[in-house]
Amino acid sequence: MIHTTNHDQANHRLRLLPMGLKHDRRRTNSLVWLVALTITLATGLIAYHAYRLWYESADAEDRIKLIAAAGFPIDNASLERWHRSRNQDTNSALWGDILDLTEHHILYNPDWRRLPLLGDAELPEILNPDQPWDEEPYVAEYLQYAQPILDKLRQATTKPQPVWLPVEFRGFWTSTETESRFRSVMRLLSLEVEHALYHRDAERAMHGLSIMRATCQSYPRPYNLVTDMIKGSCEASYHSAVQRSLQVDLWTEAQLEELTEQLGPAQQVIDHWRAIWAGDRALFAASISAGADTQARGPSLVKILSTRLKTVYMKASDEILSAGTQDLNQLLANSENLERSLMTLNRRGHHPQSIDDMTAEIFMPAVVSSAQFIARREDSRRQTRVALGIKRYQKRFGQWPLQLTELSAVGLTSEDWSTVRSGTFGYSAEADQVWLWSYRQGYRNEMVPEARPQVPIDPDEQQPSYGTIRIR
Amino acid sequence: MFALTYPRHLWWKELRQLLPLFVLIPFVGALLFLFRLAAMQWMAIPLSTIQDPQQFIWIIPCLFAAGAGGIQVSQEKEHQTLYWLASLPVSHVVLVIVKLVIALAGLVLLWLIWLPLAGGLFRLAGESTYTLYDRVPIWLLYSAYILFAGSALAWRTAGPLPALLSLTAAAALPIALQSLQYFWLTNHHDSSITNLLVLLACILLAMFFTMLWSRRYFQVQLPGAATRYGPAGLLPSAWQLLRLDQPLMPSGIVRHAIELPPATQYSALLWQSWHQQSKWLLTLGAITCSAIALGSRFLFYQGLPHAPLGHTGIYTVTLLATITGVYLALIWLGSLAFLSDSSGRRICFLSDRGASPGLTWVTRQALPATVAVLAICFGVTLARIDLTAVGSTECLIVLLIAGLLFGIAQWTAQAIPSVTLAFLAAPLCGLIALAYTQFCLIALGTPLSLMLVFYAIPLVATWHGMRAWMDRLYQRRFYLNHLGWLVAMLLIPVMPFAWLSITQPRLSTDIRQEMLDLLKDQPHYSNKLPKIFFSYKPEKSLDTFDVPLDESQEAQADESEETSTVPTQIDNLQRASVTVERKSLIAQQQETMKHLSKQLSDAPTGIDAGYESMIISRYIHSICQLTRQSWSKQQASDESRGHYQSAIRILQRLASCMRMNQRILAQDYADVVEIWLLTELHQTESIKNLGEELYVSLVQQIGDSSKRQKARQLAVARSFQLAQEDRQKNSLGGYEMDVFSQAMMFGLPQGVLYDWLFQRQRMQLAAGDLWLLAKGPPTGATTDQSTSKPSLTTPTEADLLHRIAQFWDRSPATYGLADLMSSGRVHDANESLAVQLADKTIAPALQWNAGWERQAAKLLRDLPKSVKSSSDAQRQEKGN
Repeated sequence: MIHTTNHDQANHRLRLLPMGLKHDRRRTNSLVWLVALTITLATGLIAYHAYRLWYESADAEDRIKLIAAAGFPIDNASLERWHRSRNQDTNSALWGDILDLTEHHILYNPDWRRLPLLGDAELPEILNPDQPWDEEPYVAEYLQYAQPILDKLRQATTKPQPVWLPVEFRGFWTSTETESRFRSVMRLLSLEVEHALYHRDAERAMHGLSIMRATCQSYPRPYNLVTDMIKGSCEASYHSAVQRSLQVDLWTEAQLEELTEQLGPAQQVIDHWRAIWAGDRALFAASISAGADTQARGPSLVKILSTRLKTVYMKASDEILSAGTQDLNQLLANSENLERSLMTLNRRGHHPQSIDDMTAEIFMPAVVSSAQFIARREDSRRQTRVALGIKRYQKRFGQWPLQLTELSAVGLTSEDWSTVRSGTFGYSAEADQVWLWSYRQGYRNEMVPEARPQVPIDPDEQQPSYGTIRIR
Repeated sequence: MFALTYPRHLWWKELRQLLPLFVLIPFVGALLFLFRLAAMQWMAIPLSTIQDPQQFIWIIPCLFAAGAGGIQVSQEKEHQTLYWLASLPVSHVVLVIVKLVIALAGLVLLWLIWLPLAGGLFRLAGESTYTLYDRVPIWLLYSAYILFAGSALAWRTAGPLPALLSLTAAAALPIALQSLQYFWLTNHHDSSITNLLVLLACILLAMFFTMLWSRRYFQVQLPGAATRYGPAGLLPSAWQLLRLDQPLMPSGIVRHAIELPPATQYSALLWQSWHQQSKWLLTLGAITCSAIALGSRFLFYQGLPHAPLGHTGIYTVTLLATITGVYLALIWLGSLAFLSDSSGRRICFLSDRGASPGLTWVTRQALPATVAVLAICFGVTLARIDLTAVGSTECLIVLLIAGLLFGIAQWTAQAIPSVTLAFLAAPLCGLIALAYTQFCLIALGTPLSLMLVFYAIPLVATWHGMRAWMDRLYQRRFYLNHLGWLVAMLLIPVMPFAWLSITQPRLSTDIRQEMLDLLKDQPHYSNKLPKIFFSYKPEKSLDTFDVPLDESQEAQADESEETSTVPTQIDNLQRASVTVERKSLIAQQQETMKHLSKQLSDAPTGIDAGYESMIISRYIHSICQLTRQSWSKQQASDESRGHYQSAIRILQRLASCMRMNQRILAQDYADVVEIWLLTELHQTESIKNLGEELYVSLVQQIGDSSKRQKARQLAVARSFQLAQEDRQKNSLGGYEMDVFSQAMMFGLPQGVLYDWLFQRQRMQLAAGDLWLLAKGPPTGATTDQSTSKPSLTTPTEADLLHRIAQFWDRSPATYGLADLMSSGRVHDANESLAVQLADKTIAPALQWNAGWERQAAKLLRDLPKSVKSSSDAQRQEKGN
């Protein structure tokens, strides 16, 4: 055994250094500390991220449990139960029949082009029985043929309630085909009303409008943004039919009041807002879980990514849900603030593209657009209400109101003749007709113009609509 | 004589010297090329969408050009063979020219081989080579410049490492000059001739310096002119930094050094390592740090549409330059762990003094790793000063990538004895490692625990090979050890995938044989069957035609508005006369049905049951329903009843033709149509409305379970056979199975490759499940003959249906396997909702052996009784 002294060891260490290289013990210690600190730094960073991942995963799971405990859906199965519980299944089969028949007979009818509203044919600009309407005979025959559908609709809408219709929930790939079929029904009913108006059949037209309204009320409660938009388009069809009916001097004052009654009060925005976002969150969670839950071999990149996505989305959806308020102006402001905070602007005002933010940006739904859509629907309801009010005023006092403020005489308030955010509706009166218009559709922060926008002469000219109503 | 002989031997020597580089670089490059090509094909990204497909072309010759100088000159300097060469009776100029000519010839040869090879690979990938060769002249000249610049710097610097590192900076010279002329001299006008001239000028400059510095090198023996490794240059102070073999410590530091033994061997070796490579470590660390800080700024600020640079060329170039800077700096930090000790065989100094391999390994790794980590963290911190977009997640990702690159680079530096080759191979190997990591994570779905092992292997491999490397024992055992580790590194991430592959269930041979046996006796089948379509001539096209009816025509039209058809003449703007008919709705429907009927009777072997045929079926079904429902208000007329019967006959024929189609999808469509027919048969007074003959034929058709079962079996077997023959198609019996559609973002539990490779096996299994289901009798048909309630699905069927739903990515609820949800499986044809859902959710084998078949069979059994009672009722009615 070779025994070495401390002196030998020191000499050996010194021999390791090349010739001419002298040793500075203080600097060497600094190097050792530097290496040790760096290892600590790197280890700490990795440990921090591992902890964050674990914490976020646990946090997301906790949030999911809380959501489920609060009775909100969180996956396909709970969404199905939730959807069923919010709708009535009394008339499900009947509505299923109506939707199938309408869709199959309208959409797949090889001759559908001959029909206005359902096909390519144009509606007459002004409903005047003295003026020819080329497609009228065909429309009459078609409506006669579709009587079984209209009969079923009458039967289904006697006590309108949101109807439950089976949906195969498959996360993001859930088909909204069933809900879309309500649009075909609304188009068929619009044609019925249009035909009745052409023949000045007030009773039939009123009945058609009632069924249209009842159909909107029978639409299943929306479970996400898309189904809400479909419902919005159904309501828009109804508003449009009512507005168009005012082009002809057909209604009695009692009928006008009935129509005003039909329009109903403003929507309960809070519940509506929370419901659509809760459903949207459930669809998202179901889509994410589809891949991650089948992981049986420990954490992998997919699981980490899906956990991260779930965490980001769950946090954001909590904020979105809590942004709901009955005041539409406040809802718009909340949603704008929320979208801004979700897409956190950095100090220089550019949109950041960090990995966390990108996940938020890619999967974050259009919160502002959704709020604007709700506001536009309310504006359309108010405009229709004001239009009916103007006609009622004319019936009651024998003249058109000079200003919209005069409509207080028929029970309207300033809220009725104001849009949510774009000022008061535009109004101008002539001897035999008046005009009521709104702001330009499809533009953000657009205000109602003071002067009446000119209607394009060429109908093919694609110009933005101001929702102008002619009342005669 | 000597003057002639020596050059000939010199040619041969130079050629042999370059041979490893000539083989290794293109080989590694081609591997990388193929990897990328496969990845692009894999992700279905056409190569033509890559902004610069020429990158596949120029990178390999340029790498060869960069290494040639290092191999030919620096390596000879290191091995001190240049002194021997200088002592030969050959002119020094001849020596230099021979080296240059051989290197140039190698480069030309490489271009000649590489250009058609790259084109061939592109064509192999089904890509156009249209833009591939666009800038070849530029890249040719650029590679020549790299060759001459590399040679010049090799003559000027002390060894391969400084030569190659300084060449990295020199390579940017033509690019900088071209940018200069683009932005300032030619006012944003990109002229290819000017670019070529710039490159030519650079080549001439590099050639000049090659000759100048080589001449100076050979003047080494002149007194006071040179150091041991080369003469002093024009600017000695600037070059001082590059000479690793110069005295390492400035005299000032030496003066202040404490001449005491270091505390430990570790600190002594760490201290030695620091002084050996501190300048390079600091330089590369600074590059990493600044490139991360600057690159982040460019990435997050300047790429925005409203930013000053936007998505301009200069933005892309700068971003790519910073990414390349970070990449190369991290790679070379890893390489420095062993390359600086390999250079000049410095490691022998420690080896001779008995330094422990483990301790040496730790001290070689510690400093480059520390610098890399600190540089990344500091770079991210700098970026975060005004950029919140860069956070700890980004820092961790860069650190993990850096860890992999570092590991691969230090391994390459140890495993490849030649400093030049190791230096050049490291970036390529790093790219391959990154690509392989991506492949494992995404395509194989390797768990992260195994990826940690994958990360650790390069470090373990160099630790294990330390003794042999320190002793410079580059023998077979040394390479076999490294090869073993490499194999382990490649195989470990694949293990879960391999295990899954081994345990992957396969279709039983019995079932396969049964299916093939069934097809043996069948006549030849063509899967190209006639399509059915609506024959529709629009009454008028509202977009292009005006319909001015004259008075007489209008009168005629008024008279015959309800029932008759009236020919009218319309005149379009071009005065072309077109005859059209204004038909009633019923007449239009009758004409449509007549035409469909003819098409169906012309298709004795079935129809191509696609989505269009289902649309037609739905339309005809709606005619049936509307016509029948119209009788609730008014008595059914004979004409109306005839109309109804015509529609039913078409549905019956459609179902029959769909059954003849030997595709699974067609069978499922036929099921839905038959369910509709069954619903019509269940209507009150169905015999009266349909007529006895039609009723009987309908009941006989849909009540024949065995015929339906045979049709399904045949469809499954045929679909299986066609799927086996056409391996390109990703479908079975008309159902598409695209793993990339929905699974890409969320559903990659086992990786894309698993789904892709075993798709066929899984499809075979799915066909087997369908076959078993098709073979089974309708639920309860043999045991329960009088039940009015729908029977539950048997456990075996439920198991089969569950597997089918899972394979085809459908909700089990659709197949009635979840209690709470509504099912599309029709157990009772009178249940409207289920029938409606059946039409909306057409899925493989959804209706097979469901309760509706039992109801149809019951109708067939009760047929004589039903017909008799109906006849009696009709007779009684007539009697009354």
